Amino acid sequence: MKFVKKAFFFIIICLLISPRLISQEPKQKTISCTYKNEDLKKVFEDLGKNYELDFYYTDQQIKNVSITVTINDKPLIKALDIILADTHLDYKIKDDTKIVIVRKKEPKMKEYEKKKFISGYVKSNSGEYLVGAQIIISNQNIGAVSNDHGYYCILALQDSIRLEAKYFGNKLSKDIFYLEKDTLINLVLSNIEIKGISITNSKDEAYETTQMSKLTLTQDQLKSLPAFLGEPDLIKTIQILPGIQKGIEGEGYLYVRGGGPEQNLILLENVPIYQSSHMLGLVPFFNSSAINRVEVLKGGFPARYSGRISSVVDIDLKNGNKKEYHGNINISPLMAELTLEGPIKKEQTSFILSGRRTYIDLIAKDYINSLKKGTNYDYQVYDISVKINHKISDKDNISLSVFNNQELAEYIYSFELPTGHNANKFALDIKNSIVSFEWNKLLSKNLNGKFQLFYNNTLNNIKNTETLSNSSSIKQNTSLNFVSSIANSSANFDFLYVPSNTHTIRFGLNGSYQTFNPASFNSLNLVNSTIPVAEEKYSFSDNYKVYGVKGYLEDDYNISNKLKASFGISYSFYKVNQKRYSYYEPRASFRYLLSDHASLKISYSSMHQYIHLLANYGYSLPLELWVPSNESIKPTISHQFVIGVSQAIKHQFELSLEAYYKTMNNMISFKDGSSIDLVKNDWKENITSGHGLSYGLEAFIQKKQGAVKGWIGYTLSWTERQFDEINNGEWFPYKYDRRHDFNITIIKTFLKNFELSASWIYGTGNAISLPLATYDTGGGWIATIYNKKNSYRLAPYHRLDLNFVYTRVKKKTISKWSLGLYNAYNRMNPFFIRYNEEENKFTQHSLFPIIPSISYNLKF
Amino acid sequence: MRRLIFSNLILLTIMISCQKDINVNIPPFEQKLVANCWFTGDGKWYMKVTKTRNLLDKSPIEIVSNAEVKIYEGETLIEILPYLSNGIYGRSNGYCAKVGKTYIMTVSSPGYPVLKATETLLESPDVNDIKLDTINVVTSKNLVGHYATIFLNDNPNTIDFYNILVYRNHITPIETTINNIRYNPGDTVFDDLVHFHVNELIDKQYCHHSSWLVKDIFLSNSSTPTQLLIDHNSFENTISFRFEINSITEAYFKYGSSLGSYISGGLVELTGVAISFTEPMQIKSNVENGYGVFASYNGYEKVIQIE
Repeated sequence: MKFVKKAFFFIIICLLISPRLISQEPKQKTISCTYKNEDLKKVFEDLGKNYELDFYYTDQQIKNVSITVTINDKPLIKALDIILADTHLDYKIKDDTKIVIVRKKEPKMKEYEKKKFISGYVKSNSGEYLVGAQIIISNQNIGAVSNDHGYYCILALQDSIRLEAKYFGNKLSKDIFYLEKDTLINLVLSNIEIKGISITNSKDEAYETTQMSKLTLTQDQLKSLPAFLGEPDLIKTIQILPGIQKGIEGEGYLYVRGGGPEQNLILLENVPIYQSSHMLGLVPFFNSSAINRVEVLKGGFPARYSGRISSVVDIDLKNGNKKEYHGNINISPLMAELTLEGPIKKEQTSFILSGRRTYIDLIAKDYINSLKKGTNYDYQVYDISVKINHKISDKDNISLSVFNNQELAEYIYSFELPTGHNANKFALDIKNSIVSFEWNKLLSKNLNGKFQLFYNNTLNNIKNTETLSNSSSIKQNTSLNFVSSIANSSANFDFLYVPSNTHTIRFGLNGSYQTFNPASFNSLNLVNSTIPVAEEKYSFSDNYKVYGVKGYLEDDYNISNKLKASFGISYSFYKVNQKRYSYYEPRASFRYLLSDHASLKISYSSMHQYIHLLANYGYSLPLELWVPSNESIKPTISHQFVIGVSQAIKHQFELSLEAYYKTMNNMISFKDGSSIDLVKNDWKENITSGHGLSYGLEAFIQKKQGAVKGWIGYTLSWTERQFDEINNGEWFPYKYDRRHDFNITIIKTFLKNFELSASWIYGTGNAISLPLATYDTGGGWIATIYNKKNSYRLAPYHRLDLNFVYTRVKKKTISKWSLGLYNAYNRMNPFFIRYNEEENKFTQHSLFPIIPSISYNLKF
Repeated sequence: MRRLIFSNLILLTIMISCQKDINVNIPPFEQKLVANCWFTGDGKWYMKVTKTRNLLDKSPIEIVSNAEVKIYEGETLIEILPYLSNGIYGRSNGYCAKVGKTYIMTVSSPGYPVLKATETLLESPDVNDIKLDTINVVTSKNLVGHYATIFLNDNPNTIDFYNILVYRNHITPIETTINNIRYNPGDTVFDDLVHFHVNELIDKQYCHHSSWLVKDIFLSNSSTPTQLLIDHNSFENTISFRFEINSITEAYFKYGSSLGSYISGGLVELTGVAISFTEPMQIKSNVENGYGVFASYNGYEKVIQIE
């Protein structure tokens, strides 16, 4: 009977009271009480009895609801806010003493004006911004994910706040508090240590956001995996992820969903990198000790990313510890590395300095050179990165980053001629330099801005000198010098605006000025002679000045609890010489929650690319020319559709399945029978444009927790090309069309200090054109006839890598010994095959047999 | 330079890489006819018919002696060429090709599809003169050389193709080469352009020669003299040079330049055929249903003697 009475009143009052009648100031009754895990029904009964209040509710409403709360002399409204803060319930007050319990409503738009923002930055204890951290107001069931500068912004629905932050298993909970006004709260997660392996987003981020085809790596994860010669390599780690492939053995390029290596936007501190591999791919291009976090996007590109059509690899460097000085030393057979970081001014300004150098030239040069008299080989790679980070205030942060690397190769040889002594020197010099300044500012309660100014330069230089001399004088000196370069100056403005919890808006503008010099060449020939000397000074230079402007707008829109969408559009204007291009690129992504543990995502991206790579060697050589779109080369255009599901299985495993379909137009390639000839500078004459098509299915399952962690990835894919002047205009498989690509990686931790990791990869053999026959050309030469382009497959590629790590933790240092085994079962994978005319047979060449390695790492 | 870099890399790779013999199942290849035919405006003619040969077959290239080779001027059959020897088909009626006329060649042999190709004889180039400096200079190859200047009126509105040949009548056993070409004195293009010639059409009375295929990208300004630097390393009192400037069709240029790239690619000579390391170089052909080339050229020539 009592229930019926309460229900009757409940219905009547609900009909009568539409908005919450808080505006009618209730009698200033103050409440004090303490409950620990108490049923709400009991709480209501006590309060009703002690403070002469009537509570109206149904048993169903408060079934299984219990609270823990301590209230001291709080006004009734505040007290009720606290009591119901962690529940799904709200209240309405009638006649000061009648309290109707109702279900919490979703707020209406106009109510936002009354609401208050919580915003700020999420950082680690050492001062690093945490990207992708989840910030939740747990009692309101709302939250946000920190952006690439650790910034978050949430519009609170109520004044009582229970704030939590999560980042890779680390959690921060703040006691409940009240918002008086818009509030800046910087969150610091202490003891951030991401152990083990996990290469997707955190579980919540994977389900919550509309972003798909995204993989994330951190420095610790990079160092957990088996590495070639004990040196962690970011690019080679990315190569084993699903949907991403390597080219040939040792190559340091990425082939993402059928795209070429030039189609990857590799960003270091938001600055594009053009070359991501050293020659022969032996030495890792990036210093993993300086890396904070890497994000890889294969599809579903947000509008803020543009300029490449296949992937984004976004690499953040560490900011440096703002509290303590730390260092890292890594020694491997390839190179030695030193990293130092610490505060310049405690809690305010930090630095990180990291440098590496190969030392094969120091330890093995004499031996190698002694093998052949008159020769001298030299090879070295070094890089250095410096970042200074300064906190001006809680709302302002600036940083300056400098990155520089250089690769030098030299080959000197000499011999005697009847006319004198002939000395030759051949040298390669490849440099990449970046300077970047960033200013990150919280412009208002819900608007974050970032301004960046950067300059980067890529320079390839090939020199050859030949000197002919006798005992008394130099008779002749010939020098050749080839230079290829790209310089890029750019200014970026990026903003993140959170008007409400249903919309997160990003917008920005970028202006850039680039100079491309695909090829310039000069040659000088000096001759000492008694007769007149031929004037032989040759040169040509091929320069392009490129002006670009880009703008973007994107909106993450929470349509409902289950459905979320992201819409974006990017506009780019591009001018090279007198040619202008401009394009709009629409993007859209949708996420639908199928259950608490599964989501369905769909995305579409339209992308343009104004830069092209001309190469026909398929290898990381300075002979590959970066050329801009121009009067004769149109920008490459792609459209990509992706659909996928993510599913958590028994809280330990995560499964994702994605299918993609990508078209690519205005791709360029050398015509059949053409190649780069630096001396002729005729590349414009020898290229043709065409189309590409890629589609496939990627499956990925990973285990993030427990003593055994790891993942299994499988890709089934097709990639084809069509050029009017190649293969008679017929479609043909791309050389890295790989039907099956499989990887299993396992990491096992045991006895606290030991870790064993194993990675096995398998891939369908590369597609090549096979010679079938020969014929007489009539000019005295025998020519070769090939079968249809790329219609023959090399043997499959497979390899097992092992890594064993022993960690010793002391009071102030952590040391690690790593024993590695590359290609553990000595598989002879095809690097290339060769037809030996003399012996009339085919031979297969393999580059790397089983290679053991040992490396030492010391953190202090 | 490309060759230098790549040669070093290939040699290094072969040295450090492990190798093993493998069995490659070469797909069956249907044997086809190969017709190589050149003719000129002054009545020279060369025609040879052979067959393709499977890659692993090391027997000599098979010649075709039973082919029926027909030559048409437009739609009109001019002659069915009689077989001479060694796969060569000659002419019997003394017909001389005419400028501006289009010629069609068909080659049929039992068991093979009929080959067909079309070619037009171009006008000879408009060369005002060729002059040779009398002063000896030392070239980049540390050889004695001379500058020659070609005064060519190239049509700037069309893309034209030329074959430049230089012969030297001398007994010194040093190859005469065109060291470089300048399209304007002071600027230079390099000595690595397409060297290509047809042995059978070389004038045998000159024992040393050099032949280039040139696109008029270097010659597109009609008022610009083109300068050649010629190695010859000869200090004798009298040297005789013969220059030929021939107009060629684009088909011939493509054939010759693709063959030139194939030959000078370096990999062929160094390593046999390094497959999968480079993109294959396919030789261009204007012969339907088979391989080879049907090409013509028409030229200007001048002999210059240095005392």
